[in-house]
Amino acid sequence: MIRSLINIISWRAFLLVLLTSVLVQADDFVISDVKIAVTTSESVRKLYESIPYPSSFDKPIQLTSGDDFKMIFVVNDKQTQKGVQPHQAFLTLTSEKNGNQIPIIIRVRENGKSKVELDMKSAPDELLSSPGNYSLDLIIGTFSYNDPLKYHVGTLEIDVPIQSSGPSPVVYGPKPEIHHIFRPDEKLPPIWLSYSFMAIVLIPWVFLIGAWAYIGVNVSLLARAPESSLMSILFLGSLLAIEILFYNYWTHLNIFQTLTWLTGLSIVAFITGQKALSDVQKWRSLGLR
Amino acid sequence: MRCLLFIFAFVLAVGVFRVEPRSTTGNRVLVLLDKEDDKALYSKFFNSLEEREYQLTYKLPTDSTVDLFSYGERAYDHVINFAPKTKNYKDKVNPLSLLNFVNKGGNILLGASSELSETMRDFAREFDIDFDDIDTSVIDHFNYDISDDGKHTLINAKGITNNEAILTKNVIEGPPVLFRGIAHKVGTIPLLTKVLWAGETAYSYETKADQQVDQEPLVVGNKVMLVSALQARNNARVTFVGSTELFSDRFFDSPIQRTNSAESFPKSGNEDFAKDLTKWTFQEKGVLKVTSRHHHKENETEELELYRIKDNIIYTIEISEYANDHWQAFNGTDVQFEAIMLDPYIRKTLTPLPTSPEQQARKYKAHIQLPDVYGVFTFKVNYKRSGYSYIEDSSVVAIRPFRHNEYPRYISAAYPYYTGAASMIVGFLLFSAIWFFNKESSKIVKKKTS
Repeated sequence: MIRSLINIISWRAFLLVLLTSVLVQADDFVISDVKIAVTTSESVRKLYESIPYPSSFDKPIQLTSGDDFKMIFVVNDKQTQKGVQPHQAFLTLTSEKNGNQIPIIIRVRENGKSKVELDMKSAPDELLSSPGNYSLDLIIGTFSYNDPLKYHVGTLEIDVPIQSSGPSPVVYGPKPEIHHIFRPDEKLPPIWLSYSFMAIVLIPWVFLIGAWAYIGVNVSLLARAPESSLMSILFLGSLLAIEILFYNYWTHLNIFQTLTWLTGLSIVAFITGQKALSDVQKWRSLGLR
Repeated sequence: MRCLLFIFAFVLAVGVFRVEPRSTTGNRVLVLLDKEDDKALYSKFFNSLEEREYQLTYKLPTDSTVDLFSYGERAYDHVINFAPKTKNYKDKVNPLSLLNFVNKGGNILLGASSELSETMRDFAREFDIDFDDIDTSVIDHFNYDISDDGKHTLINAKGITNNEAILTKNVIEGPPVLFRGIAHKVGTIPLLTKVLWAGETAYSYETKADQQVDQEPLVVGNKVMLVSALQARNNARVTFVGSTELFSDRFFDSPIQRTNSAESFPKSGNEDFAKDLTKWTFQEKGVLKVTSRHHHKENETEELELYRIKDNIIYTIEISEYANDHWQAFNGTDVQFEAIMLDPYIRKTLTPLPTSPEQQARKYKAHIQLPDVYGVFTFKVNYKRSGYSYIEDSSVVAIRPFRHNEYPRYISAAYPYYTGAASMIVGFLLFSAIWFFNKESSKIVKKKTS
């Protein structure tokens, strides 16, 4: 009888606790016994610290490849100080570089004891492909509690060689400008070299003029009989015109324009040339030369 | 005669009073619902669409009379699918025909819920969208609304795109959007744009109270997508909304206040958000078109098909944007020109020119020196930005090398040759002149005779 009474009372108490937890919903979580440890691949314990709950671990926690990060803590109800098993218990790593979040799911035992591990040997690719500083936060929430808990544990410093995670996905947006690099102009020899060869090319003129001076070259026939040398002047003029035409061909005329002009000029040159040469023959026979 | 005149007047009147659809695609909308009565749940939303001159046709996906196509052409311009629960789609309306509908330029607004059927999940996968398993919901113990029923699934969306091609500024900065539904994960294809997402404490899981999250959820934190939008390569738009309730009258009129927060709004941002989202999905905004394009040599005006290497050319393109029910000058500043022969040889950002308000397009201009590589080039403006319809305008030109007479005529290295030739010419003329007019001097004559 007494036993059943006690039973009923305990059941009532249990129901009451259940009801308060559902109706009042003012309960908070509390975290205790937070301990973190980092073990290297040679099983050497690099770091072992316990953190008093509301404060964060102020030094960055360094993790290199092969390291194993462990964290244990207890989740309790603030009022009853009993362990709770929340729906959501995540340890999230938030990249300080790009805000990318990597969650680690924590299994909480019925008595609230929890253990979470980040083994760099089997870490998610997302983490390995972008090393750097990550903010380490513990998020605990459940349906029956109004106030979830977010606790900043500290900062992780992931120091691993960057693993390429394949080609980066295409993102639409402005692309970098491309300025075409033009082939450089061909290198020319120094200008003084060109000028000195020009001078060398002109040297024969010295000999020519010297030789002409020595033999006493003159144009006295032109002065003596200007009227009879008209044809010769015209012939020389047509030769000069042909040379000027060739110069123009070189600079801007095309072959068809040039040939048209050349036809006309060569007829003139042919006729005047024939006359001029017969004049020369005439002078010679007259003994004028 | 009078009869003819009457008919003419009638035709004229119809022409004048014909309602111009606000959407650039059209105004025929097919609404798919799980049951007929559901129409009443979204009455405000549907009314707002009717006010914007859309013709709504309500059907059940199980109705065998409804067909998306008639004689191979689209029978509707847009589809609103608010039938997430329906599993047995008929032959005429099913994921495959909806996909064909998008391929033919139709737009789709897909509303999902926690009871989303596998049929629609398959449809979404075609667009690189992965909805979470059935019976899962977006849960956020930090950002649920005060009117939540203890499941922490009625959440205030935390992240909203700041893309003003999709949402107007007052929606982006306005009251938060109320959401209750399923999460999805977006893939990496560039056609997708994230529109609405959850806060960093959210996750997607089943909501049984006595359970603990022991398997990694599909998405966690700000990767929990609530609304995302896709614009296909043919500019058809498909919007995925994880919650049909987002469009309900109840959510439109509901006040919104986040738990543990003093900030409250008398009305959630849902109504304005839904309006902007449908405007974008149904091609009422963010639509671009090229009105003209021209290229010519500097100091000339004629558009050529053949340019020379290293030519200086001017390229102009005019782009118009559809917004607020009319075509207006586009305001983008990052339109780029490319000269491509297999690879781009030149990429240059075009300068936007100022416009007056009555102008319907903005001119973009660039001075370009063509590369010193000859061949067939494509002048291309490939403007793809999330939220805006894609522009891919190209013109093909040939670029030829220098002709023989286009090279420089005087090179310093060849000066001796020029001098040689000139000296030869002068010598020849001079010699000829002397040969004609020389009088041999007597001393040489003497030598000869002696």
